[in-house]
Amino acid sequence: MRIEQHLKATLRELAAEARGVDELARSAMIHGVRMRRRRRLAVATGAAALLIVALAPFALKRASSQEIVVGPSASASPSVREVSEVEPRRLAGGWMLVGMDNWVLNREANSYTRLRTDRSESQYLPSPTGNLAAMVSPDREANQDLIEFVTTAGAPLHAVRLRTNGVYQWSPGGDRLVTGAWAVADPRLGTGFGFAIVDARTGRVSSHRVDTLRFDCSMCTFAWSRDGSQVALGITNRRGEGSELFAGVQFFDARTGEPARAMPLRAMFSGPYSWSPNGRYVIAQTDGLKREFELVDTSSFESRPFPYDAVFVTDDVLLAVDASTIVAMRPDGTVVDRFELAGEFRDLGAAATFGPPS
Amino acid sequence: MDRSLEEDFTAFVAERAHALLKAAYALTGDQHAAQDLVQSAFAKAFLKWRKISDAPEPYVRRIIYHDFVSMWRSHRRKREVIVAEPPDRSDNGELERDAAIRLLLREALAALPPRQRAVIVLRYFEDFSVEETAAILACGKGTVASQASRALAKLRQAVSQLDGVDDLTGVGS
Repeated sequence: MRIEQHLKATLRELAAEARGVDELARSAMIHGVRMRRRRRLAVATGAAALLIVALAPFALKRASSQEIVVGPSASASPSVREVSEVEPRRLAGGWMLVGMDNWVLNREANSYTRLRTDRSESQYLPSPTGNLAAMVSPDREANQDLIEFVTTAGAPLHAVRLRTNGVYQWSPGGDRLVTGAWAVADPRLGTGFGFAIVDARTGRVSSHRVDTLRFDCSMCTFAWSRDGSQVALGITNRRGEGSELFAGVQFFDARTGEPARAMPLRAMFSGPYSWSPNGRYVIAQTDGLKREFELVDTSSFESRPFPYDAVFVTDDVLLAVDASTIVAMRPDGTVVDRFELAGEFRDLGAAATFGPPS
Repeated sequence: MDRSLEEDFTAFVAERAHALLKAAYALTGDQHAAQDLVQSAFAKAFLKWRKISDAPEPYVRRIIYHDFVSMWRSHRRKREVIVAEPPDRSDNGELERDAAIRLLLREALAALPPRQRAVIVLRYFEDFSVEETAAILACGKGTVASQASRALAKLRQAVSQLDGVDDLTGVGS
């Protein structure tokens, strides 16, 4: 038995010792009310200071209650200080590694550059096209994420602040970012959960409320369709047993936010390239809390286990990362090629992002 | 807050409290600390309930892990980690050996820095991907990978006190 298996067993045993707590909801509500009182007191004493700040000539444009677009000048300039000696390599189907942690592929320069923010806890999201990246930094005080778009050469483009669920995904065209968003206003459904699409070129945000009474979710992460026209949400019943099990997938029109189609796929896919180009097969996860994947034939919805959360580069070839190795394989799981990640990328294998040929 | 929202909040807590408590217990290894962590996260969720009630769980989970990492940084140093003598290896077979390994793993888990422990619980108890773990902890994917790698190295080192554990060095997918 490997240590990972012992570790899983140990954690399960440990967690099983947790005892339930009666009245947890009531005590949380009382605790919450006390916190609110303390915050109000703090806000009152800090009001004068805030007024001074509010009068400062900030270049902020408030576009709506949940959206603030900041011009490039207000964005922290990312500094590209390092260029990796690891040469970008063409993979199966002409695909490339477009990013590993804060290393991103600069297609024009044909090199990997390292992006950095001056903020802590930032995540770096390279676009699959290898020309843009998003740097996301949480602002705990404001309960928002700051999303900064930059070119992979390091030039700042736009910065946007949003209340999100922290999970982001680039569109296959590498021009838009989708994320789950709270406080999305809607005249019919009221304010609540939905998704936001941020245009990386303009910084514009379009937010769309999701009717969660119709489309319930527990993990509530959104993924793009392969053609980039729709975003999908894994449907679960979070009010019942097995709330992590996917019951279906609902697609929404990425432009209007309207429900587009429902698919009886009892699993959720990770992103646009989880789909084969012909749209027949998809790599998906049946249980939101288990890293177990299946290859599903959507013509019959028959499935079989698949070892990795792989991406389809063609109908016959997939790419995946196994520790510090990149693996090319057939849909039947046969490995056709593999190579070790080099240099500073060796320990970052699990964080690799692939992109199609430009 | 109106009554229907309070009822909605109460129903959410009733349905998800135990699952979240289990994760918090795996994080803290302490019943009271786990309860405090979850109660505090629920309290924060209650304050935002109007905005998050459609999808509260990702919000609550993010708070639990963030509070654990930030609050336990200093707390951890004050904790006394009891390291048991590794049990003598007997000839009673696999079960006894596995039990000894897990005992050592528990102790080694308690000694991990909070962020490494959070990464381990998210990856190996909650089964979240690197991306999801990074999103919950609000850090980079590379940070998750490196923290997991360091934590696993420490856990392997801890169980290496036992004889015959050479086959535990495999790398998981």
